[in-house]
Amino acid sequence: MKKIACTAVLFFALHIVILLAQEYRLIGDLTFENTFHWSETGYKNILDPSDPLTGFNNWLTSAFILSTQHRFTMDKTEVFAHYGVSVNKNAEFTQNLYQAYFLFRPVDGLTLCAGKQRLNWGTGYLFSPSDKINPTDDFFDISQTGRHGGFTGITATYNPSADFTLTACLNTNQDFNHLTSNFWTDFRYAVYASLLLGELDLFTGFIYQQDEVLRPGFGFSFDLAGIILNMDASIELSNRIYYPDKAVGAPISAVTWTQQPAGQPYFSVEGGIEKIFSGEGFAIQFLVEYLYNSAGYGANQTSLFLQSVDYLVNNDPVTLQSLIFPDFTGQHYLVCTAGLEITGVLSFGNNILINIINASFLAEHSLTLMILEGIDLYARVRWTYKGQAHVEFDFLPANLSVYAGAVLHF
Amino acid sequence: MKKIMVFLLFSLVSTQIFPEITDPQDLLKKAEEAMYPENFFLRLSLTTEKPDGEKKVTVIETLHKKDTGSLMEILKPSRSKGIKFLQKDKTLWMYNPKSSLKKAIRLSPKGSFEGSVFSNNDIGDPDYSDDYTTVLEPETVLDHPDFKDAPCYVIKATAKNEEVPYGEIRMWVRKEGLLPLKMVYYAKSGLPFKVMTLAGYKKMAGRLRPSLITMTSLENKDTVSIVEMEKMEVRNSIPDSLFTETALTR
Repeated sequence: MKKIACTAVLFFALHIVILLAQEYRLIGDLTFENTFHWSETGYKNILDPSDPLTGFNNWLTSAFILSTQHRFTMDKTEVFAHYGVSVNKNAEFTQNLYQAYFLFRPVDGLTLCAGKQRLNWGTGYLFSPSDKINPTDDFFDISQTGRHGGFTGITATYNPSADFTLTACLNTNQDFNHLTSNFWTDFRYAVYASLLLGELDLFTGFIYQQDEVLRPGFGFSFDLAGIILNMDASIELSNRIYYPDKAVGAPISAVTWTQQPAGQPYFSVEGGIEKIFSGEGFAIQFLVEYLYNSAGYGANQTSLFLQSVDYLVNNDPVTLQSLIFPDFTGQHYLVCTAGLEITGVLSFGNNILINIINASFLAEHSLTLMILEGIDLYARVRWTYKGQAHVEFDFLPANLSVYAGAVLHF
Repeated sequence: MKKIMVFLLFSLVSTQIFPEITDPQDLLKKAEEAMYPENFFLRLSLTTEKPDGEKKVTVIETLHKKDTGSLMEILKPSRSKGIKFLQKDKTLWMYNPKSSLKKAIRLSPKGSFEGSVFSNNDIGDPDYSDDYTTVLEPETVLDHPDFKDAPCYVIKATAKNEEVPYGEIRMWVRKEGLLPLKMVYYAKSGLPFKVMTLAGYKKMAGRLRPSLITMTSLENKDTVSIVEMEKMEVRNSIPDSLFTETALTR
């Protein structure tokens, strides 16, 4: 009864919004994709070892994915929702409400926003100091289900001018059903300031949650004669991870664990250069970006690459069941991109993410035909090279995936 | 005596019709004012025609606030729908809400806009008077589709720094009404590479303005981009907060 009432209220509210909206915009796409996968050692699902595909070297997947973004604008108010659904070949249905927020500009210079939202801070592709607020951007689009998700909370943004932004954020972070007795310690707080000085775009931010996160960060981007330079850096001072001892490949029973002391600094820094040549009918992009992540990653990582700190925090070693391959701290990465687009005809892209320490990499090559009005036809190949015995790219279920699909834009 | 009176009267009238212009920078500003108001909303269609006859149409909405920036959003084609550009002075960002990457990408204002003959700067920052020094060249008569043989001032604008997209611009401004009719863009090497014709003059946003702007490439023969102004309104209450990266990526 309660669910029906909530649905009815939402349905009614949505119609009120539509009626009041001065402007409604819808953008979206419908993707149909078939994929062939190959794994050298056989399929493994870290999250679900009982997965029926376990052990297979080759398998096929297919999916319909619908993504829609709705924006209602009413004078000083906006309502935005980003929703996605997907159906796989087994008719299994998943849905995601990536964002749903209400935005209000009470006076010129002040913007208030409440709901599920993203704050897209930082300048780099691989890493952002605000990763502790949002789910991390997914450069390789590995996880299609979580890629656009936001956090639930409230933000207030103050703009005394268009060149200076000051944002305060309250991330409720926790399910309200599981709040502890101390209400305020469950929240995550952030402030962020950015300043545009000519061609130099500067920002600094700070994220805090009691016993969980203490992360100042800063960064910049600069246009040097058409070459875009960027840098982001942060220090995590509350990385209370239980790191395992340096006994590579040892069974879990033989590993001892030490929780990192509060205040121990963990650095993350990235720097990149990007150049886009664009002329009449074409664009060529080159990008090189380096990332150092001192907190590293875990062998039983189930989240995306490069954000292992988020995964490891709060994981009590006593409950870890998978094999442990410790000592993945202090990782150096390089991402390189080269792409060509012939406007309205095709695009060809190449991305490679290299772990410099163990010489492993993840590469992706894609070709998209845009000759049909509103429809992209694409093929994409993603493959990994292991380098040393155990690398984080093993967390992908396949060593080689070949995608073919079509996207209908609307 | 009668002849002298007629001459004086004619001189007086012609001075009223074609006010004497001595400051080319002022003339450039007046010509820019004829193209766009200081703060405006604009919906335009950008059609690029290639030599093989293929046409690509892009519909864009723009909010521009003087000394603050321009915010552009693509409405058509569906493939590019929702892509937004924010230009502030010499910085430009692009945000694609359909991309898996949820950050704005920083671009160079000198690059081509959506593969057209227009540069990003042409679309996002239509003012040249801040970045170019100007001199007046001898007046001329220009054959123009709207005004036939139009007496024109000719302004030669030279780049003040290396960061602007063109080394030199030559602009033909109709003496009556100070309306810009034609512009030739020169590369830093000194070679002309684009010609813009401003036509379809009609009353928009409170005064006579060009509604049809044609940019012809001199490098790729027969490649033409045409901007058609579909709707233009003066908007004096655009909040500054719209011209920020935070707002761009929302």
